[in-house]
Amino acid sequence: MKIIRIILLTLIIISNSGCSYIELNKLAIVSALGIDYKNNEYEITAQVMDVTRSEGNNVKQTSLIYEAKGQTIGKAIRNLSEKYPKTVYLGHLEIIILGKETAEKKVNDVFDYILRSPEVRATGNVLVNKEVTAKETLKPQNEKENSFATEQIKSSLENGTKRTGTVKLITFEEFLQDYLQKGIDPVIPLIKINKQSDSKTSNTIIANLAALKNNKIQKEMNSEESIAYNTINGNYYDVVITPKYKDKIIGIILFNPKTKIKTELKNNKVFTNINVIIETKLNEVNFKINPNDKKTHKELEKVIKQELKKYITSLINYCKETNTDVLGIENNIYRNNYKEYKKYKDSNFYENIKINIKTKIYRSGNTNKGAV
Amino acid sequence: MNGKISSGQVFTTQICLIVALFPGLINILLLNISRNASILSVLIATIIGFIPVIITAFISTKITNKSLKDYMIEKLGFFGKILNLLLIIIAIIIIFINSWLTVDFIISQFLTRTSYYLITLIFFTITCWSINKGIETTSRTYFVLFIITVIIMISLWFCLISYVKLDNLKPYIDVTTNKVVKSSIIYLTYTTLPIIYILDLKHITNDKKNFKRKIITAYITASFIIITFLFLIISIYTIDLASILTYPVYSLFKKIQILGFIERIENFAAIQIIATSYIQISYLIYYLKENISKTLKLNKNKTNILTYLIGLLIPLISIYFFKNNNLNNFINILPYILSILLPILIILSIASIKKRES
Repeated sequence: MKIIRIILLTLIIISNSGCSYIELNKLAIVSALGIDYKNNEYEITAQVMDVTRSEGNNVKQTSLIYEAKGQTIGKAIRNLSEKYPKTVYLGHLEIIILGKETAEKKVNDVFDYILRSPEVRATGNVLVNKEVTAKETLKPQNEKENSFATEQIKSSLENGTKRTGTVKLITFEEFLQDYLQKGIDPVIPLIKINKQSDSKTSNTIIANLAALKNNKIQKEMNSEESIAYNTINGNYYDVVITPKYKDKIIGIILFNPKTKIKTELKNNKVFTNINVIIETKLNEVNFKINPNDKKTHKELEKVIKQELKKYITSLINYCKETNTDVLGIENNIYRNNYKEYKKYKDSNFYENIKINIKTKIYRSGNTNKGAV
Repeated sequence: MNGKISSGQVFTTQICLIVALFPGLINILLLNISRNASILSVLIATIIGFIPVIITAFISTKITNKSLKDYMIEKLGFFGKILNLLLIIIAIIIIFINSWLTVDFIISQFLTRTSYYLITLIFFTITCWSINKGIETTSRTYFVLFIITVIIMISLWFCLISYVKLDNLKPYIDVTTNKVVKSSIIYLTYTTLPIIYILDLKHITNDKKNFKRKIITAYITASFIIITFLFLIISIYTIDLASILTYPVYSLFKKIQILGFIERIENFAAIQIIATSYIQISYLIYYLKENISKTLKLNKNKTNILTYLIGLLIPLISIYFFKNNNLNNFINILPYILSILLPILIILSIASIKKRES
């Protein structure tokens, strides 16, 4: 009896362990996926990690570009295997780049495929290229042999979010949350290819944000509007702004932004208060000032407030112009005034907005007086 | 081995009887029916659910050295036999649906290229084998699995707290009262009423005094687990995203990052989903085996064969059935079937009172 049990158990273990087994070197691990839609067909561009061992046992990481077409995204991805010998694996997908046509016409299809697939992780970042195709964006840049677009894009995206505040590191899941919620238009970071006129080389630039409304990518926000968006949503670590003080440009670091949006419903109108509390410090001053002086201190704070107000006003104008609600004011009413939501849902949310900014400079770097 | 189990093991089994269907089925039903108000509907259902729980606890005080089947027959005679038959049918239905949910979860998330039948055979052969080892061994397995589950679950809760956005819970009630009531009733029928099966453990429990208390504490603990998961799902994902996911609980695990670099632990975390399902299915197979073998007066060998028959046949038919039929059609009638457990509980409690008066 014991022998029969052991044989049974061995059979179970053997048959179970062989279920979905594929050797690592037979897998094409996709790190970035470009999705274009042309002539009623999807064009998939997959950037595949290619890890090879070179001389001296050093591991060399390069990338390969796989391309295929299909009537659905899933079919196009399967078609990759027809051309290339390896099995495409999407479990390590880090970046999804949507071409303009895909972002405007087929964004739902992309969501559907990624949500359904148990292999794809929804924690990959989403980007849109409004100018060229996703395929062109993913092709190795600068004619460098070892160019690895995914890493460059990912680090640019991270730096852009944390250091310049002009983009937002948005995962597919976060994007989908905003997309599905009532009364909020999601934003998406844009990616551009900057071709040099003197040579064949080009750079990939992650630049600013754009709103998505009714499946259409709206015009690009400028960097001030993007900073305002990220300030209100508390997305960055610290960013530098350059307001004018006494007709000269100074560098100010903004950090730790905290914003509350409050809406009041009165006489069929929506009144919104955007209350921003932000910490600031001096970054660069090219003329003599004494930041410890009370008067200077107050003047500097006023300058920062005005500059930030200018940014936020610019963002509000963007929303008015594109008829989008990237700040989610409608969503705010839906959440906090649910009973009155139906009455106010078609109101002009960006008509009566008051911006209140509280800021305090409490650091001036490693010098109080400055070098100038 | 004395064939007895501790009150801790009873506690474990009951929690799994309540929680098992939550990750694969109940959470999706609740989120789609009562949306943000799911937490409220579970709270209401938990409060109302105290009635059947207290009835169950009361009946448990009356059962001393008899199995649930024998107790029913003793109290109600032939009618008791009919009620017992109903309990058997409902247990079969719960195994039927949960075995499909478990196997489908395993295949859709981990073993995508494996046959449903192969997984069913492996999973349920082991289940039946462990059941045949006796209730003492099985309930110890339940206990160990539950301890592992609790440790994982609490660690995961701590990891997920940083993702919580309380604003996502608003508006707290975004559906009509009817929908809140509907989801409360569904929750009650799927989770609270099956606790009647725990009464079958009373006669083999070491600590009979604490049995009643364990029933109530297990119910409160299970409700707390379910409410916590619902809170995490809605506050992290927002109701709009959560309601379109097939496995919101499992999707939550995909977000977990420990110390900023340990990630992709969802498959490890999924142990708790599979463990609770295993415990529920395994206990119900045990209940059927005991019940049928005693009715047919089978010897040990025949009882062992009966376990394999029940434990393999029901899941295999379930796989065949749900591969050819939509689960949703079945789910619509399931609350009506499960609600039969409530009159059984009431009748049994009345019969218990009558005996006392006489």
